[in-house]
Amino acid sequence: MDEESYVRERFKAYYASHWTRSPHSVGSREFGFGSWTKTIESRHYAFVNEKEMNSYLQRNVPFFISYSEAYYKYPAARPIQKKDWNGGEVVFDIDANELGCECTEQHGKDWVCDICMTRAKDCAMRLIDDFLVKEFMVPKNEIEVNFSGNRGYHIHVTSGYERIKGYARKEIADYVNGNGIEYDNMFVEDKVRRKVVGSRPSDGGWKGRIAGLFVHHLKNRTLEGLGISKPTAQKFYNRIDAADRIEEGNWEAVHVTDKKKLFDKLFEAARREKGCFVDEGVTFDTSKLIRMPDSIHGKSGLLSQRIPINDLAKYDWTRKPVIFNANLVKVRVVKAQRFTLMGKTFGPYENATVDLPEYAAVYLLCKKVAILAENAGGLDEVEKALESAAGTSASN
Amino acid sequence: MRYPFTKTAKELMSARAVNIDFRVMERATKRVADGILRESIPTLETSDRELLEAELLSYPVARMIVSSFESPFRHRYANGEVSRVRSYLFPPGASDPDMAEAERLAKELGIDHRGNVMSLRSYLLNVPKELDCRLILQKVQEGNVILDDRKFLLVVSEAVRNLVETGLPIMPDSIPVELKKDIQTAIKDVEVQLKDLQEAQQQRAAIAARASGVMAPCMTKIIERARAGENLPHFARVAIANYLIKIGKPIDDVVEIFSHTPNFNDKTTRYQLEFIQKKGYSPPSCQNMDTYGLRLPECHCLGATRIKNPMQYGFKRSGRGRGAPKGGEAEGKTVKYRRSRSTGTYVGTSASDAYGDVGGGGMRRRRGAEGFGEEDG
Repeated sequence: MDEESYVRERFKAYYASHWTRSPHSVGSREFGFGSWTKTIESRHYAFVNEKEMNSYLQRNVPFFISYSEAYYKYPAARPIQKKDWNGGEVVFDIDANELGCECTEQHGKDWVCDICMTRAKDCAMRLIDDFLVKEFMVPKNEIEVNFSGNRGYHIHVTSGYERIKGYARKEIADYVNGNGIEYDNMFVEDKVRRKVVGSRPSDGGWKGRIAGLFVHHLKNRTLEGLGISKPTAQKFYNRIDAADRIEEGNWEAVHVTDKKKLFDKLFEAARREKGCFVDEGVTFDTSKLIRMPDSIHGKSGLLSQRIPINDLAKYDWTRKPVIFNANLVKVRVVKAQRFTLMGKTFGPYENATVDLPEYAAVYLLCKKVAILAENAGGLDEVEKALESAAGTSASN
Repeated sequence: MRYPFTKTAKELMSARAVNIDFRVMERATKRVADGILRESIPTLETSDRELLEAELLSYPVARMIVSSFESPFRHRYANGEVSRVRSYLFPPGASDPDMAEAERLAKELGIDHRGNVMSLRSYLLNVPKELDCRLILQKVQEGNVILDDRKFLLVVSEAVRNLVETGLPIMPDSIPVELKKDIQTAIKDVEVQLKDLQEAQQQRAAIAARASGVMAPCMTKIIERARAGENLPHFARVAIANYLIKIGKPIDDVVEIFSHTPNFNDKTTRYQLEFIQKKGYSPPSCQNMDTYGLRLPECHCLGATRIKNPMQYGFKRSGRGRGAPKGGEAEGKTVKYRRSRSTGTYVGTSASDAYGDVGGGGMRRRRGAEGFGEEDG
């Protein structure tokens, strides 16, 4: 049995024994399905109800199931313009491999570890608490959080903003990421009085957020942590009332020669510390398909899963979405980084034949870094598998 | 009736028997022509009840007429309607905009606000595309955005534009049979006017570009790259081909430029160029050139010069445009500029500048390409 058939059998058994909850307004959604090698092989599917959707999943066992964040009058119509867009959820996608974590450089973008996944969760929580709930006043019961099934989290705002168009969605994505703040937007140089007037921490939005961040670091004498040079930071520390002046909007209490350079560093630090790192393309493209919760992700064999919003902080992605059993399966691992599932750490492996619990074996098979031991012939086959795995990852 | 697109106006029209006579048809045709050609629809100041009624009825008829035009023209028409509304918000001779009128209109349009505090939802539904209206630059607090008068007016204008564009194009089946013939006549009438204007504009631009010998720097750069034998990306090829043909370069000259590219094929190139010539394609806007990384700083476009298309470069630089350097290439732009100045000043600048170029239509900054992909999380 080849790897694809083996994994499909496992997926089939799962879908046959579990009822998959459809997204709400299922009849207005477009669906797309992926194969072993492609995350979206076909799209423009529609289902009348949950039953029909389950029947399709059980019959066809797709490796990836995605649905539209948009509601359409005719979800199966094509081209997309004929679907008649009828609003849609505002969706945010936070991927662990796009957060600029140091660990990503070590394990590469195809892998995730607890460090980057925790960072992704922090971003998701920041997005919900600091932006959606606090600033946008979205009620928590109108926010859905999903584990993507592979390397991140999806946050859906289900109502209130359905009719917002692509351009405004881009504005939202830029807002939560902190993109687009520049020196000239935030400060006014009063050349007559030789004063730089800028935002105060009490101001709303990003301007207030940036001013607040600066004052916070100033009071804690940690300005260097923002990338500000030691001599410049020292100038601020030496001026006792510097924080008070900035709280009044006066940024000229301490004279800095190259203000733009200083503030560029401040903005960068603010984006890093306060931004949410959402994938803008997912938020602004109203025709986007996104992984369906309660479906299995074909790149990990983990369940894309709904998370009650109040449980997000303690959500353990290495346990909760694991759906396969612990029966041992012998696999030949071409090359795999260390990973943890169900509290057990596996690897790293390189050209090793190992007995792994089924959930870990499926994880590696889906990542295309292992083959079933029964299929592992000579070294040539293993190398071919390695090349094939690399090719597949590049195309996805 | 100032605002025929509002719910109140619709109710008023549906409550009485209406008669679409030649006056309504004439006014509707002019409305569309003014909108498409000049992005400026003048207001009607009269107390004649019948004329006022014709003015009101001309709006739904104008929508039927404009529905047969492509999306960019419908957008220009919507800009025209916005410009008409502007005339009411900036009364002639007044130094400040009529904020009370703007608030009344905002209420009619369902914009959720209290004074200059607007709900974030309303703001996002009608977010203006001006750079300083970007959400990230606003004070967002407790589900609201705090705006100054200028931004408030821009949001109201955007809401008008959205409302006008909603439901367009009207499908031919939805047009009453008894009006179809007159609508067709009106469409032809506007098409003729549009064709005349386009030809005149092209001639002016081509003459100016040739006479001044000044080509847009971004285009000169592409030519240099082609001559250097670089394998130009598709977008750059399309841009330069459209541009050179539009300014009247003979096909042989354009072929000569492409002949330096590594994968040159004489037959294919000629076929493509002839096709472009036949279709009369315009070069991409400066905004799109920017998106594809082809815009150059020395073009000085998109900013205060208001150059939106490389075609306008030679024309404006040569100072031939009426209203240059600030006015637009098209007659309509010039008209709009003059009209705006006559409406008085606002915060030390022209009303037009203070209010923003809401009639301009074009995007001020990059709008990401919308693809039909999916996330890969």
